[in-house]
Amino acid sequence: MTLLADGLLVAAAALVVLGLGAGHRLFRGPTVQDRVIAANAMGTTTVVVIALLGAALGEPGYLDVALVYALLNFLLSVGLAKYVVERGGVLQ
Amino acid sequence: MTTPGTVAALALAAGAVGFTAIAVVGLFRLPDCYSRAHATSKSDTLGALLAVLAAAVAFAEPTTTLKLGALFLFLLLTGPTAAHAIVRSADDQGVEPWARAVADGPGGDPDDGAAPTPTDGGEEPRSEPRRGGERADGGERP
Repeated sequence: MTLLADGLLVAAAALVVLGLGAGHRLFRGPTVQDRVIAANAMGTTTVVVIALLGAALGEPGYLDVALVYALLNFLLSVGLAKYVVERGGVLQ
Repeated sequence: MTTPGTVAALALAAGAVGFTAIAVVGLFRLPDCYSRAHATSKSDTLGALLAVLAAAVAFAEPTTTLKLGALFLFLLLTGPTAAHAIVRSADDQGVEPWARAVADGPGGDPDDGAAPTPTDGGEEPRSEPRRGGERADGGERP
């Protein structure tokens, strides 16, 4: 049980480092779309880190947070992708 | 005391870290918005799905399995969909795909091992670099 929790915590830490590495593209992406892709990858990594922390610490309440964060991440990506082209236009 | 559940969860978590690392390396090194979206939409989504499976195996309770199954389906549906929306917006804006003549990739020009050999001297020698405006196929930049 302790081995499982420690392994999941190590995996979550590695995913945090990888998410920060994906943030490199936020600062030097030539286009707006590169930055949105990086933000989407970082958000997905954050969802995964929350779920793994809930599994490692034995708290099921974290999964609700992960679900809501996944919803918000998807809405952010699609909203930015539509806003960049149409400047706030309606979804077609 | 390593139970099979522990071994399975740790293996799934290791796979998740590996695929996410592949996605981040793609974000670093690929030269184009489209290819970066390609790398992250597939590899990052697969890493996230493996991590969700690892958490489900680690919990091993019905309620958390249901919630993580919902999260699994949601990530499976929305990861590639978001990447498709972003790439479509890039195409609508007129972002050009990377071509070999435009050597302005962030990771530098990749190795020219796969470059096509010029046939009977059809191209001028690369004494001077191409202008940014002209494409390799002769098309004009919009």
